[in-house]
Amino acid sequence: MPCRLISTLSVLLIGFAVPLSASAQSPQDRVASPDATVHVDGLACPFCAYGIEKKMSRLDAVRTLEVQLEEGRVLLAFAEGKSLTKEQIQRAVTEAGFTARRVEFADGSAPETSSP
Amino acid sequence: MSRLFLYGAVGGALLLLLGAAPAAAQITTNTALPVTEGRGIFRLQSTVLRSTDSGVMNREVTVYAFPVVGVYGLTADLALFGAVPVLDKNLGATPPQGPRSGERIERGLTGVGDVRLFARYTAWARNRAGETQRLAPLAGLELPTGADDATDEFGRLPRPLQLGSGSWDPFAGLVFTWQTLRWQVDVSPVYQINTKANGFEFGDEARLDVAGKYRLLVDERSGGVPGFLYGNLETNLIWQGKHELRGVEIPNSGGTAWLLAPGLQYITRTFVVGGAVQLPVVQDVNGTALEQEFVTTLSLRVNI
Repeated sequence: MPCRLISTLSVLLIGFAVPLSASAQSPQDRVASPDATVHVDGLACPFCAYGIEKKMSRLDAVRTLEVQLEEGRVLLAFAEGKSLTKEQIQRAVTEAGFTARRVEFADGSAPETSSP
Repeated sequence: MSRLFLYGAVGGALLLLLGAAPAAAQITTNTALPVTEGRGIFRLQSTVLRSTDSGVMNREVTVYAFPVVGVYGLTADLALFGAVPVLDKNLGATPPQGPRSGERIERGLTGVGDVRLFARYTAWARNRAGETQRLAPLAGLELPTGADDATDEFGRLPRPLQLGSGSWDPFAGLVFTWQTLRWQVDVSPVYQINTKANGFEFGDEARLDVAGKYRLLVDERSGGVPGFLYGNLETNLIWQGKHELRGVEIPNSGGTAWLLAPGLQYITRTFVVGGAVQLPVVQDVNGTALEQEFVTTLSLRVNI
């Protein structure tokens, strides 16, 4: 019985190690001058924040982003010469399971189409 | 050692594990929190259950369960779950009479148990600043992937000591979650219909899990999204009907247990680690079943 348990536990320990190393805490960016600030409703735990982070970071136009959990905000910095529309941002937040209550652009605009 | 004895002894002990929620966001309870579309969560859990008695047979049951759970967000509202349990079940007893009188008898089995597949759909959600409320029905099937005809030197192992039931068992339920930045409450009733396989039918199972947790500490050492340390208090009310062998109820099987589980959880943006000890508050197990001592659960979840 001890051998069976040791074997089982060894497999599980390897199982623990693989995902942990794969998703080790990566450095989190700070966005000093956001191009867009997204006010997100429903965001209330760190584990859920990762979903928004992943969804947003897959958008080509996003260079860096910062999730401010306690404030319920996501700050976006766009890549040079690129931007996102309000609808694109709202869709990404919705696909993460949350609601984008308001999107504010730094230049005060609300672009209807994304820049190339 | 009669089969009736084993049904009572092991059946009662397994009552707690058979209905264990495979993908709970708290420690022993389901949640309705979202899984991001196109993303997944991987979960490993380790549960140890121990029961003993002070009778003449000095019975002792230990079950190690290691459910490996994968979750995938098909859409923001629809999440698919799969749970593969690795089980190690052991029963020890000392018969006071018979050919093995006074000798310690050990019976048990290790391997993969019955796989559980289910889907959860967020039917209603209300999101506010720093707060979410969600209601999600769930439904699934427990597949007969675990061995149900294993034998040892004493012959075929009794059903409750087998790794699987041999039957296709559907289950359905609901989960309601109310989460804020400081606290979270989850309520989840689930009912499982156990069907017949090879003349044997485990009793149906119903459970009501209610879990609360409160944020104790905010860990801002890493910068960015902080980690939260929660104190958890969960409670599980579990009922199982009597098993049936060829249509006849087995009296020493099934029953009701009410458990209280204090625990701790540390949550970061990429992983959640937590542990709890489930202690029986009330046990009303049919017939001559063992009394539960404790169930310990450790769990790790990783965002992928």
